[in-house]
Amino acid sequence: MKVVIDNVSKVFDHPQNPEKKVVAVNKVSLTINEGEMVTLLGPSGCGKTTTLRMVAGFETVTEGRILIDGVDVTYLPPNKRDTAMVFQSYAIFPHLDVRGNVSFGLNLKKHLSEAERKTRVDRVLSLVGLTGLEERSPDQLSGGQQQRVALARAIVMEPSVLLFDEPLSNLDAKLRESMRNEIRALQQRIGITGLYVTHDQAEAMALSDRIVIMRNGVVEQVGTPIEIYTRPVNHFVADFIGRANFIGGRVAAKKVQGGQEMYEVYVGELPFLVPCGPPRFSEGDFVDILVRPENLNLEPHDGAAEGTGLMGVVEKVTYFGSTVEYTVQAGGQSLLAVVSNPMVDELYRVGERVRLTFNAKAAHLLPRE
Amino acid sequence: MQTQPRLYTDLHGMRARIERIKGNPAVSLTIVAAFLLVGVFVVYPLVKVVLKSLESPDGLGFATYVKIFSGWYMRRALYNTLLVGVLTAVIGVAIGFIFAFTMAKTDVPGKKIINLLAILPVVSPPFVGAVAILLLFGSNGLITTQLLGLYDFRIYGLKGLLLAQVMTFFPIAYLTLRGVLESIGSSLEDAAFDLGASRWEVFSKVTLPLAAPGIASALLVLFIESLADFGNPLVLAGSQFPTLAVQAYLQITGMYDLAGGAALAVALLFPSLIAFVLQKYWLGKKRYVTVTGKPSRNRSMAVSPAMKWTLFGFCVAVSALVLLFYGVIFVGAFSRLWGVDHSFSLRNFEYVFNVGLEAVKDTLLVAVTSTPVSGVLGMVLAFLIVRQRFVGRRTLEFVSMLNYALPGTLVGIGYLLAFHEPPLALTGTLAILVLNFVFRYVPVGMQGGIASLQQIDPAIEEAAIDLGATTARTFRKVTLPLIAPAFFSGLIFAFIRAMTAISSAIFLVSADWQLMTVQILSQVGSGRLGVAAAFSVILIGVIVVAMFVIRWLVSRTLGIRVNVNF
Repeated sequence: MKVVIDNVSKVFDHPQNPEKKVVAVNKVSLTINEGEMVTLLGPSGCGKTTTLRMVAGFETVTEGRILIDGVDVTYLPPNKRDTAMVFQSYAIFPHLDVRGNVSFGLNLKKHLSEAERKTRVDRVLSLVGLTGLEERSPDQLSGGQQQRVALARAIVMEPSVLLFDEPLSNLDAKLRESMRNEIRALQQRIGITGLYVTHDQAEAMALSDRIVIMRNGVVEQVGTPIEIYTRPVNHFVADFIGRANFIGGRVAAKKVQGGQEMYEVYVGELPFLVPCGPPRFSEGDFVDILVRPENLNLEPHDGAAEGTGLMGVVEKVTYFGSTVEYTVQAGGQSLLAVVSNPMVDELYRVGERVRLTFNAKAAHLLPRE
Repeated sequence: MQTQPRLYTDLHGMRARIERIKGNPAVSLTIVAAFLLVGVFVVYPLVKVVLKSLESPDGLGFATYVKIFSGWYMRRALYNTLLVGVLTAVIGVAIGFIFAFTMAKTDVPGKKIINLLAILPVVSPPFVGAVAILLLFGSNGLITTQLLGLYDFRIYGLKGLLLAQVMTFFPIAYLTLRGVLESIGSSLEDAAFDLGASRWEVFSKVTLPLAAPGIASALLVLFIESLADFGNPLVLAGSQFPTLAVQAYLQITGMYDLAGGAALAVALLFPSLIAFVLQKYWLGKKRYVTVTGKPSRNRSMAVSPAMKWTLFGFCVAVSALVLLFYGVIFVGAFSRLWGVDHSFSLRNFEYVFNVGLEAVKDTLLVAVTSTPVSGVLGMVLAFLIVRQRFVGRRTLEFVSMLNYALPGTLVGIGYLLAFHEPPLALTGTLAILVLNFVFRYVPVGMQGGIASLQQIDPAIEEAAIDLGATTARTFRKVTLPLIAPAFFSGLIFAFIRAMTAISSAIFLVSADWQLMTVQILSQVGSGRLGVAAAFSVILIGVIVVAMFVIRWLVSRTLGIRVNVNF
């Protein structure tokens, strides 16, 4: 276990009202394993950055402990911890050139020889693709290059854990995509443990071994990208990652189909079979079926084939080229369906009556909120 | 074939320029007026002084310089001036840096009070420090005679002058350096910590190098201020410690040697000018741009607790000294006879109201007249320089700013020489005083205006013009409200400077028009320290009241609430 965050809380004084307190992080516990990249994901104000800064040592812990490599670092200042952070604003030293920036931390370690330092710096610079730019000063670098300097500066320290504070948020979309792939590749190649903070879910999905979804200082769910996406524990998580349709229904009975346990859920008069998983439900429970938009299929309303899908009317059609999105009014709800690789001569039109079906295997049951 | 399109675009460009001038007559007229005004009231006097100093039997020559500097006394004056300048700069910046660092990087208590005390010297006459020092350490000084029983201690000379100048000018260094330190993003220091640097290493390898251009800038500014200082040396330097500004004045008023005085003033000019150019143009380019990002909430990391309280103690000690200075002035104003009888008495104020009322009225008149003119002119110049394109724009900017670098002594002599005969015979009038103040303090408002304007998106003004407003209307209705804070600051500083001016004004007072600052100095010269203190108290009181009045006026006319932030 590389990093253990043990029941950690952080309480701030309210900026205007000294009587009130702001609980930014509320009894959060998390274990990060060696070589893992874990991402803290959530909306602004959820406590992810505060948690990261507590691991780095820039915020003091109100309650709880933080252990790195088995050592209790809770009361250690940041310069005594074996962490290295990549800052959101890069925080490149403007008065030093690229080499000066990257070797800054190494130069503080007296036991390294000059030659060793140079080798390490050169190696890291080639790792991030900055060879040849050693003499440049920061104001001569592009945003992406500055990013890489910040990355190199942290990596060259060979820390126990690398910390990332939304490092890509200042870059344009294309650069963000290529940089996140680079960061992931680098992290896996070196095998370094990483804790990453972002509010961008695509970034989290692409980079992480595990994702921690946070809201209001509390952890909502921890899991791999697949677990988070297919088996969210509540509406918040389901809605935060990707897009979600919640179809209201009632559990009728438990059945077995093809060797797998399923719940029979009635949506109005229509029965649907949805696989069992956590959470468990009993007969009569009100539930919401989570159906992802890409899982919702539109079929022509035959008029005759009742009982095989939800009946609805197309409200809106938006064509995106690679996909087409339909908003369908069905059972008193607006549902979103996304169809890939649409056949343009077969697009449904606004006002058309359609039949909605979905693959039950990809559906997920959530308690009604 | 190639030349034809070129010619067409040249003519086209010229035509566009002519159309622009025709479409905006107000602007073109203003530009011409600006050049005229700056030329007559800034450049012309300067030229007159230089020419006067170069007067010799056969045309222009350096005879006067040779005569003046062949004597050891004047050479001493030059040496002393430079010595005090360097010492004041170094010590003042050191103190200012400690204050700035403590305020910007630590979480000590009582910051508001310390800040207030640190900038108190800014709103008072620059030689109030000298008066306080006399009250404390002079021949009847509170500390020297009453407390320590030293009856032979002479505060005059280098030590007295240095103390006065350091106490007067360190706030300037403090204000500049505080801004510099606060603009260094805390994430840079966080990054250094994160990489394993100790507190000292963060300071020496990150904070200090990044603050270096600001420190160099502050050193140069303090050097220039010290060189131009007239009141403090006049009171404290004494005849054993001559300085250039005072000698230039004495040469003219005592020895009636205009040429000699001019030569001394020009000798004063060169170091100031060099420092000014270095500060503006060489250092200006070296500022580091730091992306600040989210500020670190945790301030207690920059220094260890021991260091924090040491710094705090130092700041408290210096602030206490400032408080002592102003306290003693206050007490001195209300004492019967300083050094002999300290019972409460209104005698000094009686004297002021009997003999000095003229000076109070005249000073107010001059200040109240020159301040708004200076403020508006500064804004107009800022607008022209930032938003308009015309030939000689950079020159206009440089010359308008030049007044900042010119020692007051030089400007005073210049006005004396330039305006004592027709067509502009203004010596001895109110006009010469007002004009002197207007053009001396235009740079203050102008700088603030330029900085403000550069932050306003030009698209806002373009939108107004697009909707049909003329440039003049846009300026009045759109630009002016947006630069109101800078305008307001410019007004306050111009007013304070006008009320506390001495080094140029002393050449321009007459029997008809007196100034409070000149009065204070003459009372000190006559040994009436109590009266000098009373004048000072009234002066400071007027300034404080005026600050509130100006703020109210500006808010009313422009319809916005303006806050003063020092």
